[in-house]
Parts: sequence; C-alpha cells; structure tokens
Amino acid sequence: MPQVGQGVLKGMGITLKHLFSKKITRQYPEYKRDLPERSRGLLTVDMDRCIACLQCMRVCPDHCISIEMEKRDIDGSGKPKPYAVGFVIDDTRCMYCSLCVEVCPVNCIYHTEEFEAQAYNRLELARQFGERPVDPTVDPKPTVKKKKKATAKNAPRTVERPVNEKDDAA
Amino acid sequence: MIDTLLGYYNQEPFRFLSAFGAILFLTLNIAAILTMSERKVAGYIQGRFGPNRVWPRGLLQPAADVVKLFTKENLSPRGSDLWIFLGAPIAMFIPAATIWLVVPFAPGLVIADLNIALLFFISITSIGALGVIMAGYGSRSNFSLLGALRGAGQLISYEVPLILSLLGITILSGSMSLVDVVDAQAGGFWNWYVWFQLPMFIAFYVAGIAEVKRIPFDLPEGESEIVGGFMVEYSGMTWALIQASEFALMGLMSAMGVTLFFGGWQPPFEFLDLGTFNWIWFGLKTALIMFTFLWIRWTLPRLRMDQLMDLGWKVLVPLTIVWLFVTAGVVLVFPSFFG
Repeated sequence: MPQVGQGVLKGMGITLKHLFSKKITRQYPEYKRDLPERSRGLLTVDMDRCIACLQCMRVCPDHCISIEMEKRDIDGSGKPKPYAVGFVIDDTRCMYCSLCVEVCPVNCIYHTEEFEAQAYNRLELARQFGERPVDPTVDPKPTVKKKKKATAKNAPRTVERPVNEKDDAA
Repeated sequence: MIDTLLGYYNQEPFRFLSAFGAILFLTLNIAAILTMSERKVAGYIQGRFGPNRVWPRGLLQPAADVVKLFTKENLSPRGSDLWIFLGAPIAMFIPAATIWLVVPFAPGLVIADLNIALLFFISITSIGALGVIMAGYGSRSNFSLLGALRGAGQLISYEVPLILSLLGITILSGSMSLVDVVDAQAGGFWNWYVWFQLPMFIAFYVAGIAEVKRIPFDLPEGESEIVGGFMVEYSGMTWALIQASEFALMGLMSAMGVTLFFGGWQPPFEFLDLGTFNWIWFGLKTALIMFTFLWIRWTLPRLRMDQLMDLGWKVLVPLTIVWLFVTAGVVLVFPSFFG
C-alpha cells in the first residue's frame, strides 16, 4: 500500500520540473542558427573572376548552369578572350552536389550561406548573373547521340525539360 | 432608475435570459481558455513554447481556432443517422453548460439555489454518457461505435464512485444545496472538507477525470487504437462543440471539486474575505484544480480497459463506501462536533 501512487507522483514531479525548464525551441524566422562551416547553400558566381571555361556547366549533373560565352577583348590587349555574357543558375534543378565548386579553376563559383529559395514562379528561381539573361529552360548540354544502332534497348534518350507552361505563365 | 431596472431584472423572463447568457458566456469562455492553456501547458512540459504566434504570446489562439472551425465544412458520413449524429454534440454540450446553474460563485451569487443541487449535478452529468452513445451510434462508423461502447462502460462505471464520494459531504453538511455546503466550510482553510474527506476527494478527482474522458482515462477517444473514438466522423463546428463541451465539463468538475471539498468561494483565512469579490478565490482554486487536470494529462499514459474497470470497481468504490461509513460513524459518535 505505501507504494501506491509513488510512480504517478514521481512522473508528475518530472513534468513539473520540465514546465519551468528552459525551452529549447529555436523560433526560426526570428532566430536563425549559424550554419556549419562549408555548408552548401545557394550557389553564387563572382563574374569578375569568371574566365568562361564552361567546366562548371559541363560537370553539372543536373544541367542547372547555363553559360553563354563569346570571345571578347576584355583587357584591351587586342586578343579576344572567352567571356561569359550570360550566366544562369537554375535553383530548381541544383542538388547542391558542389561539383561545380570543386571544378572551378579560379574559385569564382561558390556556396553562400543563403538557403531560403522560394518564389511564386519557377523562372524566378533561375538566378541570372551575366549581362544578358539566358533562357534556363534550354538544356545547356543536350545528350550526345551515340553512334550505336538504335535498338529498343538503347534508343537515344531525348532530353526534354518538364516545364509546365501554366505554372510559368505568371 | 436603477431600482426600476433591478425590479424589471428580477422578473422572470429577464432572470431567465440573463442566466442563459451568463451560462453560455462562462461555458464557452472556459472552454476557450482551457484549449489555449492545454496547448500552452503541453508545450511547456515538453520543452516547447506552445502556440505563440497569435498576439499576444498566443493568448488569442482560441479566437483564431474558432474562426478556422467556423469556416470548415460539416461533413456527415453516408448512411449516418443524421438526427442522432447532429444531436450528439448538443446532448453533450447542454449538460456541461447547465450544471453551472447551481454553482455558487460568491456569497449570494448563484443562479439557482436548488435544495437538491447535488442530485441535480449527478443526474445532469450522467446525460453526458447519452451524448457519447449518440455520437457513436449515429456516425455509422466502426471506430465510433467502439469508442462509444468504451465510453458508455467507462462513464457509467465511474458514476458510481462519483456519486458515493459526494455522500460524505451530504452527511457532514446535512444538506444537498451547494450554498449550504459552502457555508458549512466557512472560517479558514482548516474547515474545508478536503482534510477529513481526503479519500473521498481522491475518489471524486479520479472519477471526475474519467467522467471528463481525459488521459489517463481517455479510452473512448483512444487516438492510437481507434483514431478518435466516438468523434472520428465529426468536423467543423460539430467537432468544436464536442471539444468545447469536454473542456467545459472539465472546468465544471474543477468548480464542483472546489465547491465541495475546498470551501467554494470561502477564502483560506477569514481576514482575506472580499465580500462579493470572493469569486476571485473561487476562480483561483478552480484554476489550480484545472491546472492539475492538464498536468496529469501530459504526465500519465493511458490505462488499459481492464485496469480502468479494476480501478473503478475494485479500488474507488470500496474506498468511498468504507469512508462513507467512517464519516457516518464519526458524525454519529461526535454529533456535537459537527453541529
């Protein structure tokens, strides 16, 4: 008999202690915790350093980087060099694999600590960095057709980007 | 002028209407405050903040909830018995609201001083079981019916210790009127019935939680097994009415516990008497008991059905019967001591 209710009282003591304990909730929009080092946020490009080598565009598994390159005499030496006129990163495709960051020879593409990408229109999430906007819906590196015979098994894959016209109309 | 108005006011239709308004105001507000404080207490016990978006600090959350629930659609399952289905929330809400009629809030501040107030309380609370059965039967859903069966068994079982626990009070005060019960506990907290009637109070409290169908006795709802029991099929305002009646009944059980065992509006010491403002003491005590309801809700797990029945019939009923005889014997042996 003396033990009746002891477990209940013990449990209620614990909950009472927690009632006055410090709350561990991080109230997100007002309070943002610091991201860890090397965390992969949204990509950004330092266009002054970009040498338009197109390596990031080629390595990107998601085809999310499109670069429009032309030869231009930038430094006035009379010798035209590659110059990125248009540079778009489509955040709807990016999977933050960081391959483009690793491959960049001049370290001009890198992750920021920004991670809140949201928009009402998918085209708004394609961030333009160059002088001239690039159409992000055009695949920058369409699959090269292999010279094998086209059988049912290895028929050439056509790359079509699923763009819903209704969504993007706005 | 005021005398004329008061004269009008004391006439029958005005008295009736103002009592009706006061009861609705009280019931709905208590339900609203309890929904908010339940979520707040839950959050605080679990190391969270609870709702804190609605100004100020989440205190207006019930208003937001009401707006949300009003805009929701009232669905009823195909093949449900519509009259019974829609009548169930009303059958649950009206008893929970009506009992406030006999609760004394302050000296002279009671809507109806019935001389059978305790009997009124017992009989009206047992109507709540009817609402549960109606909800389960009218929904035409297996889960609802299971929940209603459990609810019926539980509510009717726990009526017995609830009634028995009130008899000691009746013996001690010699009256079934709640006003007399409160008056008999005047003169400081040592005169409250809770000390002599402690086993009765424990039985009343446990049976009260079971009558309100709260954890650890919420088998009729049983979210983990029967997903919501007798109120699975309810949505929108019918669901809100069931919830409101449960919270109102919880507030009512606290108020009855305070009235019967903690001296009602009597202040803990005589020099703290506030006259008509003694409803502050009543409110404070009721709020404390309500808090223990919430506290237990977020501490204990749910009982099994057989454990529930064991506790009711094998522990609470014998306890209350034994203590009823002890009370009666003491009053017989020392009649002068109890007036």
